Amino acid sequence: MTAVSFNHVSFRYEEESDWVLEDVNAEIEEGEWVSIIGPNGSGKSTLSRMCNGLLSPVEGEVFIEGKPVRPGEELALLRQKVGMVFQNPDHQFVAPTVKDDIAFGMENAGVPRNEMVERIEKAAMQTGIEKILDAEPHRLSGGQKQRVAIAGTLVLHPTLLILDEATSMLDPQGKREVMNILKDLHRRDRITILHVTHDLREAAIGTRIWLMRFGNIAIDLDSNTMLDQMNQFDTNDIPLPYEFHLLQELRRRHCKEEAGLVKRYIRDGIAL
Amino acid sequence: MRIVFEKTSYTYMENTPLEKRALHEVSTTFPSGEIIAVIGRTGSGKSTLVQHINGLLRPSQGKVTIGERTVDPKTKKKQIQKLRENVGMVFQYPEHQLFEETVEKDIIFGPLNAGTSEQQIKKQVPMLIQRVGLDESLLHQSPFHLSGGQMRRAAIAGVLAMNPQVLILDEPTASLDPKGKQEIIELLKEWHEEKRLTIIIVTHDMEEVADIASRAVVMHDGRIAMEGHAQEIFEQQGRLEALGLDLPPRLKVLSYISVKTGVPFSSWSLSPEKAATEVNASRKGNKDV
Ligand SMILES: Nc1ncnc2c1ncn2[C@@H]1O[C@H](COP(=O)(O)OP(=O)(O)OP(=O)(O)O)[C@@H](O)[C@H]1O
Ligand SMILES: Nc1ncnc2c1ncn2[C@@H]1O[C@H](COP(=O)(O)OP(=O)(O)OP(=O)(O)O)[C@@H](O)[C@H]1O
Ligand SMILES: [Mg+2]
Ligand SMILES: [Mg+2]
Repeated sequence: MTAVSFNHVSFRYEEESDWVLEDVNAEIEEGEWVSIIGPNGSGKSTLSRMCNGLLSPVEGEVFIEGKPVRPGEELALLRQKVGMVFQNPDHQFVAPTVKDDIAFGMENAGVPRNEMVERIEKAAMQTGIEKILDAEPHRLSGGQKQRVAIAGTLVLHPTLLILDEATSMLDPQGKREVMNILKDLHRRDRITILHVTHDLREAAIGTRIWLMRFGNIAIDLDSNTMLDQMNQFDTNDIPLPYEFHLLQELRRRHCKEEAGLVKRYIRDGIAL
Repeated sequence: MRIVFEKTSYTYMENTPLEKRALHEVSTTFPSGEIIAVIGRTGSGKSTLVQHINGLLRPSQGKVTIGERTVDPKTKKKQIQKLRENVGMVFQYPEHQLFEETVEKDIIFGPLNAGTSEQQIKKQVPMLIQRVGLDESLLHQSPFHLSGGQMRRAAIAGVLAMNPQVLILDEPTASLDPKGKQEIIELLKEWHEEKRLTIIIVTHDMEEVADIASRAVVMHDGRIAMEGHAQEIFEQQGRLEALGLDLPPRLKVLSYISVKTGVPFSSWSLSPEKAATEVNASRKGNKDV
């Protein structure tokens, strides 16, 4: 089934201001893992906010699992399926303690008490926040906030998980941990993932990559192909991380074996 | 300006059940005019440490000396106000420091407050936004209507506008696109070259540390675990790993290739071109044998 479908979606924040999204047409199949990269201001966050009805298209329509996203009662139902981690976690905290904050979404979704406790324990362990469950979400370090925000979404068992730069403030080990959680969810639970990131190393791990430019999906490639066609990125002046650049140079010198090694190093996330 | 921490401790929400000691008797010196990187895992105390330099936090015990000014547990708010004119800080989350109606007003707020004439500071705005890579059309927008990376750029412009003697940046490149990251790092290098100010940058990006910093401080559990020349710190791979930190990416991938294929690289800081050339040469060498 199609998990997300953007059907000629255009958007601007105010009438008369410039279009922020212009005629976006794309589909994400169930079980895909799409990484969105692109310059600051190109519309990545705006596009992701369309998927859980936080924003509605000015023109066109968004469908989640075949149903149109429209304001109204059905949004609550939709948000149980679509988990979203915001670019700034402060925007999503609602309760005075981390534990209550994580529980909040589950309460709304009618998860029974004892199951809530179990889910919180599991997510806390996965994201490494066991020791700060009683802390106040706003009084945490930058990276701790991001971990809490991720835990709060995981407990809802979404079928579509949207992460908007959700790992940007994590230390490298923390990033790896979160990427491993995503890999697990993707493989075992067949969750569909939409991951906005500026880190090409993270982006290379999914199944597909979108490069956004000026409110449009300018490049849409399968991640494996992306590593074989990096010159596309170069021309769009995206500086490549060291390993990506090295891969290109190895290919140029026909060092097939080593190029293969570096490609796997990137694809398997060893580069993270 | 030189910055000296002397047995600085800090406890959040002291004397409450939620009390949290975030710094434990930290003593260190940041020499004047250097670029110092502060690294360490999530929650290790980096932001807490640097917020002492502009008086946003006052030590619970011990003291911090910034140039001629000393901040200790008894320092009055007024004295701290003076400090802020010389010490600029870009917060980890830029939305915490943007508050004006428009981006332009935000950028000129600091200098205006410090007594610069509006006319004079406005003349500098085009140069500033160009250097941080912010489009002119955004100047009259509300800062809260910017994208994450645009906000970061606006916050940096606002702090540079104050022309501070000490510049603190808490994960300044976290929300920037890859090109923006490079541009901001270049901008900081140039600014440092021009003004010879002290720059303190908190970052998780080891390439960035290697690229920009002369000194590095590694925080761990509210204490300084390592400090010294950035290069020397990277040489202590075992200790870094024990602290849960990473090596610079190029070092990681080159040693990975070396282990898997036996290619002996002449250095761990080779450019991609040079590294690939060495791989190629080593394969040819093997064939000849
Ligand atoms: N609330 C808002 N009101 C008006 N304009 C907005 C608002 N939010 C974003 N914009 C504008 O819309 C455009 C796209 O913003 P968006 O946040 O989607 O970008 P992005 O690709 O997520 O960027 P970043 O990488 O910096 O997070 C930008 O030019 C931005 O200035
Ligand atoms: N406002 C606050 N109130 C209470 N505790 C806090 C507050 N801010 C931070 N802490 C705690 O102090 C410790 C150090 O936090 P700090 O923000 O200095 O870490 P950090 O090294 O900057 O981490 P990160 O890389 O995640 O930003 C953490 O355990 C954190 O939970
Ligand atoms: Mg964004
Ligand atoms: Mg911090």
